[in-house]
Amino acid sequence: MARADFENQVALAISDLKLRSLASIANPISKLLIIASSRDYSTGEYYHDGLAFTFSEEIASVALCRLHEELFSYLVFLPLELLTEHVKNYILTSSDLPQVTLRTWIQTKPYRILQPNSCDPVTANLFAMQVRLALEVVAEEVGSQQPVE
Amino acid sequence: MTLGIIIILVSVLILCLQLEVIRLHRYLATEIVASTSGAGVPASGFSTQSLAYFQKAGQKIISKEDWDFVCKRSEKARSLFLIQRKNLALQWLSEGECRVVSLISVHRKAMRMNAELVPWQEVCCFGYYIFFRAFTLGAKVVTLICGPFALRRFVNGIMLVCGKIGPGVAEFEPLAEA
Repeated sequence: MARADFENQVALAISDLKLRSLASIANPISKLLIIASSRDYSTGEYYHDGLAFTFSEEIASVALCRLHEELFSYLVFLPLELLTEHVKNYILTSSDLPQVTLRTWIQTKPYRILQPNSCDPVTANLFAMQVRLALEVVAEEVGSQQPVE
Repeated sequence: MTLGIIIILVSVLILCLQLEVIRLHRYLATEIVASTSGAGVPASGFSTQSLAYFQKAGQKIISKEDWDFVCKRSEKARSLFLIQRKNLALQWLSEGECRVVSLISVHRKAMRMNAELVPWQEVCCFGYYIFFRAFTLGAKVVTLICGPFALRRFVNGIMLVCGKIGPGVAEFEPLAEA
């Protein structure tokens, strides 16, 4: 497949993802979690059955990888206030027990594995620290008594 | 005569030390590049895209907007923010150093075999490199003592030198690989 053709297919796959799989999800944190969870942590490859069926496994993997990078870049450079809003919305809406979700996020730090494969260490740390701080602010607002490390 | 010999010996000693430092940093740079290889979010070197990304990270670390937001929060959040940003500022400076050192080593390899070497350009490049190392060292000390926002005074200077060294040296990468 020619390079231009491949790039066109990837662009189509990204649009497809945005219009179908992610269309109903408003919160970028949720989107990032979904995209990051489609990655195999052993190989670093991304998998999406529906997308692979429509396009090909390779195109699906590249499309997911680029979308992951796009979402991550957007979130990492977002002002802390906005990021805190997104984190708060996620914590309050993802389950019936927001305090449990908050405690789990603070204790297990799932946000530390959300960065794309190509992310440099400074940016990865910047994101993790931003989310950690956002969780601290949310904990204050929600009234949780979680200790800060 | 004796003074001349002493000056030559000291110069040779400084050059040897410099080469040792470059070798050590090259090793560190290789470690960083190896741990961050891939496409998309630029991870190494100073191509135009990577430079812009590196600058964005630096500016984010010292963002006043974030500080203003945290100021309205508890003391706990404020102190957490300051600790985090100080660590990030130091990490940012170290990564900048490692990238420049790796670029300089690529440049050195390429220049050794280049018949069209222009000595004046090499002296300028070396001057920028020494200035950069001194500048980042100063920035690290100031950040350690005065906190992350002291980095604000240094970011533009560091980016200026990276901008001078990066794209120029990147041109020679294929030569070094050959």
